[in-house]
Amino acid sequence: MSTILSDLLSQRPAVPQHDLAELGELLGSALISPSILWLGAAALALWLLGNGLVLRRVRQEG
Amino acid sequence: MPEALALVILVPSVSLTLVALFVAMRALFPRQIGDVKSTGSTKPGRSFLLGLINVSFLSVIVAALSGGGEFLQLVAILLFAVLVGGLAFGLAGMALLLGERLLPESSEIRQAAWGSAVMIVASLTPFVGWLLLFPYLLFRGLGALILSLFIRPVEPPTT
Repeated sequence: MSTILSDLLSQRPAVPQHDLAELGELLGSALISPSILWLGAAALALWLLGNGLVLRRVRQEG
Repeated sequence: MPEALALVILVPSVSLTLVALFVAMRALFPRQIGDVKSTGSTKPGRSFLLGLINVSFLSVIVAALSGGGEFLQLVAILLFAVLVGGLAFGLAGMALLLGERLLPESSEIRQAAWGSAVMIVASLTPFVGWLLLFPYLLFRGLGALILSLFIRPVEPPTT
């Protein structure tokens, strides 16, 4: 199995350097994509919810 | 070898500056640090939970904002500064709580100094200090600070 895989990998055409650079740019843009901001918004909502619940509980306890 | 030497010099000097910082905070903000100490003493579980929630989610929010544009990055820096300031206040309160329990008869500045020293040295204990004691004090201190901002602290009964 590993021999077949290594054979396949050795026959694979070399990836040009400019393709790798494009891939890096693509990954970089994905890291600062709006999905990260959505993650921030979700964290903000959970943060407010968590604080609200704990503070309400403490106030109820007096 | 130079790295080890740097650590040997850096760790005591940073510890000393932290002791000085906590004592200075106690001297400059006696009411706030006293409130953190009282709340952390009377509500340790709630304080820990609130601190855990705030450190976890605020870290994610700061990380997310720092990936945005210039304005969002500025907001992230401000939020991070608020978080670090809150953690410093919380740790100063925890240091005072430790000092009060270790030296009940001493002056508050002395309690803050010895409490800070014990807290820092104990937190430097490999694994137990790094991974358990320090995060515990960090979360409890921050939670106690937030609770003391919203709820009037009750002085714990003296034993």
